[in-house]
Amino acid sequence: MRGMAYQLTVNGRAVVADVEGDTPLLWVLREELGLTGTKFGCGAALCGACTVHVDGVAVRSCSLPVEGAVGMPITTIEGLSADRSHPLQAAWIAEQVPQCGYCQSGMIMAAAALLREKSQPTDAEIDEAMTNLCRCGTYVRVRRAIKRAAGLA
Amino acid sequence: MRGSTLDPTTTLSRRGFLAGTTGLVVAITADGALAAPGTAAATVNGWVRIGPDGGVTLHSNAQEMGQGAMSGVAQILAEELCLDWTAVRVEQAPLLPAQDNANGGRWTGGSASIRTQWTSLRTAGAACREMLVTAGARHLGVAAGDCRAEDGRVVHKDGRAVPYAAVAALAATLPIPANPTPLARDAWRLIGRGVTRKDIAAKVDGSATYAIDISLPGLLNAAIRQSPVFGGTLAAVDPAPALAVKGVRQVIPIRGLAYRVKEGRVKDGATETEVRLPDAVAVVATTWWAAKKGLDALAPAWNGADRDTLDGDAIHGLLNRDLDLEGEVKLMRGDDPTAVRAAHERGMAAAVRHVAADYATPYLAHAYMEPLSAVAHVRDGDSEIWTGSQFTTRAQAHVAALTGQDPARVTAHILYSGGSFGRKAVPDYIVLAAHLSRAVKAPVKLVYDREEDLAQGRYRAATAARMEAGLDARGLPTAIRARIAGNRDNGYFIMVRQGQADQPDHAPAYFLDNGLTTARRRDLPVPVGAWRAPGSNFAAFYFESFVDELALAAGQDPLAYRRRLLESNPRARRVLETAAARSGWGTALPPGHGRGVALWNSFGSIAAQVVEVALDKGRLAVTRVTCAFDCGTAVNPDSVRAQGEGSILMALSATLAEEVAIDRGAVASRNFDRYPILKLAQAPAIDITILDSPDAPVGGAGEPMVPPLPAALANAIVAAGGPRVRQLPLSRQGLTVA
Repeated sequence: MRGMAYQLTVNGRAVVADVEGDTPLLWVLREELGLTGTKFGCGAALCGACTVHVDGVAVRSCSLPVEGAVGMPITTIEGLSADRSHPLQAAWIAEQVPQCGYCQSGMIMAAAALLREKSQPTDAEIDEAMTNLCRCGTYVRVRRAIKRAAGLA
Repeated sequence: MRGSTLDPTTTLSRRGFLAGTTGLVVAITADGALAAPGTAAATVNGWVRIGPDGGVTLHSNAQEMGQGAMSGVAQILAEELCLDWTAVRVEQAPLLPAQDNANGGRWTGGSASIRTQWTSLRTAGAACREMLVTAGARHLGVAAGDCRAEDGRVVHKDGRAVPYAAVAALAATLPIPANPTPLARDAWRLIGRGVTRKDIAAKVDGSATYAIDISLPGLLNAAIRQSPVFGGTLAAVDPAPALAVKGVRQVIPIRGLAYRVKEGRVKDGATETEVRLPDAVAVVATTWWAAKKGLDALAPAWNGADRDTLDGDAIHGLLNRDLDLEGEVKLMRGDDPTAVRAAHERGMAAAVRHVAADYATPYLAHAYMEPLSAVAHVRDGDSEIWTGSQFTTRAQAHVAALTGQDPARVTAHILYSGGSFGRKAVPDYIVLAAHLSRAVKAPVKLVYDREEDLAQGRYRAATAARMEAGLDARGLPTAIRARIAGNRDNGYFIMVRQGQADQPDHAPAYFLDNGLTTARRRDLPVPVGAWRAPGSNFAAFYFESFVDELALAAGQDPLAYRRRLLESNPRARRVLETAAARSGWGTALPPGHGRGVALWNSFGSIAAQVVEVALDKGRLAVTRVTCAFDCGTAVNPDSVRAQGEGSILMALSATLAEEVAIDRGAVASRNFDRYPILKLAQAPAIDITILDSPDAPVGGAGEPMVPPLPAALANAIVAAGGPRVRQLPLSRQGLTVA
């Protein structure tokens, strides 16, 4: 496959990535743009560590070729807020959610997409939306932090 | 770079104080004596840096891998130094002998960071505080006895005060107090409070740095495939398909990589061992994605036909057969094997009835979220590594052994670890990064893909057990025996302890007479290692499932039965009764629901859990886990609670559906589709009560809440009208996991 310059909009900035079209968005973010907050976990869209927003929707960027992200706004954890002021980030700190922290960027991005769609999610809706994997077992606090950010707790 | 250590060659100037542009650094040994670099005998546990701007940085020697110990270590120091926690900075301590952990080297594991350093950290902090107070008093021209430390200042009784920063240089010239006095419990303002962990903020905005995130000038990236068949060798690989991928620099076959390394706990002296790494093929490229694409384009041929017959069922069959053979007697210190056997046989002979049951548990993977990743730069004469290792000095020693360099010439940069649970104490992946760096003469970041990570584990060993007991007329055990079979390399065989006057550890909480444990070990090619709560994570399942079977055989309530066995252990009984009471034990449940209980001692702590399940036509839902936990003193109760939540969910995940699938000599479960770990929707409500035992030694918290869960769950299934499950995971026993 031939490389070419893909024009992307990441965290509100126009950027150009000179990569092959099948390069997963994850590796463009991490290796071309230096946005390492988005993590590699499984490479198969199974764990969600690589979750970012593409056009406002939570997407597992390890399995989205960069050519599929052209023309749509992309938001990573670095773009969620400039100063950890997003209600979810504040709730995450208040609830002391992270342990090792590795899955947490993806977890927060998945939660942010959920709250955008459902500002007051039920437990069942949280269950359904939050399929990201966390080995440290932060799930109890993830649920609590989402409810706190949603003003439900 | 954030999280980086100082270079080990950083000068520690006279008397362990480093005063300069960075301010004051104080290193104080556990006994208040001075530590200098290279004095291996010194067990120093605290570093304090007071900057000229008044900022105080505490250096923690606990590797942060999610357990919160980096903060916990600093919290103890901050307490003794009377610092405002919100203003304190915490960094990973530099790799100096003076910063060694209790066993020597920079090692984080065994739920040991707090419990083994509790006294030395408090003493070190107290010594530093006393020196600062003395210096502050001199500065103010008053008597030290009239001054106290408060929020980073020395305060005189008349209200005059001077900040630490203004007197730090003077403090550095003072003699170290011979007998520093840690604060009394009633003076604590931080210990016992759920203060905010220092690593959290960076973990909510993506700025926390892990080895996989490292970027360096000229850095190359590597992906690797080691022999998928255990013990297999690389027959041939055609590099052309990888070299055709844009960005790929080299295809590097690895054959017979071996080195000799001296390692061992400092206190035990080092022993030399040979390390052999599996054959492999690595692809080095400008980006990791290019390396991975190149790797996937290759079709390496592996030799390993002799392993073709090995699979999980075959191993299970072998271990079960071993249970019929006599094993080696596992002993407590000072026990005589003949006497232990004789007592056991007498106890069995005295029984009015006998109960026996066979159990088994599978290989488990660690399955942390950050796949094995390391950066290495090997040069002529020195090296650097960037890791989130659980055993950094071991990684240093191994890289030094590989490169033929002095370990002091291997600089280690310590980063956050994206989970470990035991696996990242083994430095194979760091050594491989160094090998590749040496081969390409550039810094190399090696990142395993998930398939490689799950295929090259140091798995929790599969074991089988036969439990046997004799019961007296009251239904209480007259003797109990565990026969265990497993890998020869499995260093973690937990014993059924004989009656003990003291508190047993890594063992049942009951003081039982006439106990006997025998073990059979066989050579199996599956590499095994430490997995959260080693030994206890399967032994508690065997023992506490069996205790339930004994209770039911005796026609008694499993809780009441355990209470009777704990008559001489009030501390453990309180833990058990607290969990039971919080769980509503004995209150009515809807049909198809059941509660199960289990209790275990490990890492100096006691954990009891009650699991509540709902069972509907073979469909299992875990609805609630209640846990009571006594670790003596919880330095940060919120962190202890988080460790409890994590331990319960990791153990639940393993019990429900985890098993490393081995097929034709290789791991078949190579991603989360075949190795499913628990999801949020499956996480039950968790209720944790932390009990204080102020007079007891401080216990660990990162692991001891793992062991009770599997048995409590299996016991709950029986209580709900389901089958007695003696082999894990539950998903292989006809139960559908909700």
